[in-house]
Amino acid sequence: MRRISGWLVRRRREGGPIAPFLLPYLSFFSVFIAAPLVMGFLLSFYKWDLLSAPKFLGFGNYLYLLFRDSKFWTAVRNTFVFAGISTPLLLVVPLLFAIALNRDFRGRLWAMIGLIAPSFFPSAAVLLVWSWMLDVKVGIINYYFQRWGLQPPAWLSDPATTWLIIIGITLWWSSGFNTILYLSALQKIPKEQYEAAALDGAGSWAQFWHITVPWLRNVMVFISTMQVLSSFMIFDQIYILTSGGPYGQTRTIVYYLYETGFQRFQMGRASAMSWLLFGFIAVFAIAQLEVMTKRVRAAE
Amino acid sequence: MRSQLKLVVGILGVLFFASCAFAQVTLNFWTPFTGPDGPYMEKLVNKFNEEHQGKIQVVFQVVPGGIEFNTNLALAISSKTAPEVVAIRRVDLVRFITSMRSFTKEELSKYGIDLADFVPGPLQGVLIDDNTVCGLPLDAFCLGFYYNADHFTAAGLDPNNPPANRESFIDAAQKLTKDLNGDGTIDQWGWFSFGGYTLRYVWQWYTLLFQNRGQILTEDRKKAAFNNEAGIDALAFYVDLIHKYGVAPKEPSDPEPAFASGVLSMHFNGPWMLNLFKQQGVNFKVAPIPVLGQVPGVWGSSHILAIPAVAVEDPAKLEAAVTFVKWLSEHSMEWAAAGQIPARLSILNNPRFKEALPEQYVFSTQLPYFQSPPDIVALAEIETELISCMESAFLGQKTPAEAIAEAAAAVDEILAEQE
Repeated sequence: MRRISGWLVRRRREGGPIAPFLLPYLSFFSVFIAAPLVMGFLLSFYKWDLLSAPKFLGFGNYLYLLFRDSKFWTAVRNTFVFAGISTPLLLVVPLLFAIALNRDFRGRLWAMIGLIAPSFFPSAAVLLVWSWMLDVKVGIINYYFQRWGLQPPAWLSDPATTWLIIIGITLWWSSGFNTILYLSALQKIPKEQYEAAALDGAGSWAQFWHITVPWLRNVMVFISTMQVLSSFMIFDQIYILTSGGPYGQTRTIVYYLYETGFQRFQMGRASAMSWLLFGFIAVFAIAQLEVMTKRVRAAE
Repeated sequence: MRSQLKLVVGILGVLFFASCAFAQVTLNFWTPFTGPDGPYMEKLVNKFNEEHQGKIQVVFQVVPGGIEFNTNLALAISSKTAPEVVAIRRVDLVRFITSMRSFTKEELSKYGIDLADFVPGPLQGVLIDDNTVCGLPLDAFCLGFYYNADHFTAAGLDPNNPPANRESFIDAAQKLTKDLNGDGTIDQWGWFSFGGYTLRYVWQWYTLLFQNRGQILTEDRKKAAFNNEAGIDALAFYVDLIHKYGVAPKEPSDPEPAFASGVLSMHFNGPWMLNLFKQQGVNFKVAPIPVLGQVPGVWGSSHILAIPAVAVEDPAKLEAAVTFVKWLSEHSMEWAAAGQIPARLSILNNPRFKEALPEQYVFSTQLPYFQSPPDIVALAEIETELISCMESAFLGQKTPAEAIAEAAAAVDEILAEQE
């Protein structure tokens, strides 16, 4: 306490007190982020349905989820499947877009808008429109299938096609932001390196692998970490498109958490689930950073 | 002097109006009526406000039903900001029974409300014990049999004599399913077994299960009781209409727009669709659900008017809330025009009801044998499982027996988790 006040006093002598400047954000942070975080953690040790008094369960919620709830593990599996497939795609595809957009060509601006703009559309709008387009009877996609004489599939009635659609829509929707990051990184690469490599006889693949990729490594680390985090937290697509179906095969952790908390009113168990999710993400994020920054750290 | 007089008169005037406002009780009224019935309720609330001006003012609010309604209500009750009156679906009320103000028969009779005037089926949803209720049924609703009169005539069927049993229903469906323009695809269907609003799969299944004298859960409500002939047949009938008789499409198809546009000839749905189908101009008639099983039976439920206990600790508020609830219940014929059925016997037996609302009257003839699913908290989750198992049967991925067995196992698991 003394060290902190000493620091504040020192600062006051230098250029004015810090506390008033920190206060606005700090109060917002305490009330809306820190307090709910702590209360949520405490809640995970109780059974509470919003209406009656909370009942202390100790680790009861955690033990139930880890050892007795098969739906939880199905949700974990579904989440991992989605993260495992979508993360590499959202790492590679935006890179291809960025490489394509990095050269000057006619209509480049429109191509850029077309590829990047979707990531700025709100999720509800995007997903509602897609759900209408995919409707079996009145959707425009099946209309064209029929016109071309193909059997229109019931898109969201089969688990395999449902996952395909969720991943496809996510790819279309989220690539834009990653493309921007790659594009700005690409534009920092000095052109002389490519020229020198070309003089030494390096083909385009060699140039890509030995010049482009090393320069992009930092951005790739960042994108893959962010992508893993947001893949684990997928909710909107499930809520609007599938409601966890068909037969609960697209139920992910956050959607199951929502069902547990708001449909079953099991607030304590939902909270425990969110902390387990935090645990999974933390393990993955740390492991990933370790692996991907090994070379960067070794170089340093 | 004159300006001082004006000031005094002004102050007295303000005090007078303020005292009126203080004497006036304001009630918040939450309803889940997001559909075309919302404006009907709003009109009723406005009428009440007019008749009780200066004494009671009701603020009408719509909160979408289901998860949103329940969560908002739970949060409002726990933070003591609950509305004074709610119109809540019977299936949602279960969770809130202990939070609602309960009334004994004696208390209600002091307010002039006689429980014997309520239809027994809907009344079950509010009875805590033989002498106490936690709310009053606002209305009742059940499935009814909608059929296109023009299609019937064209198919040689008598529109005044709709099918009343399984054989005549299947026969009618076969006659009504046609390829009208000879291009090899069916343009008019007798029936849609699935598609659109998914809860309807469960309602039509409940209906046939009850007709087969089946039950959804055991008496102790701990296990599923439908994994038997009654339950399997209740699903197999609708599956056979698709795959055996070919009178219903193989892919999910929403029956509501199809019936409204003349693509579908027969349909089971609630009375809330009456106004919509009338607006679309389809020439339809309604009849009680045919006896597809052994005895007459139909799924039904109701909306309930309830009073959260935390909101009416003030006796003036309680008095006002009960006055409003009683008034609404007595005006349930006007509410019925929105597409519901009154839950008051005195109104149902009034000849004006049959004259003014003939279709609702037809629906109401089913009230004596109307049955609701058990009032348990896990019902919504159970219905979600039932829906996905039935879908797999409709799509031909599982046999009805397999789907029902799977559903029963899932329901047993859900019930076991309810500690």
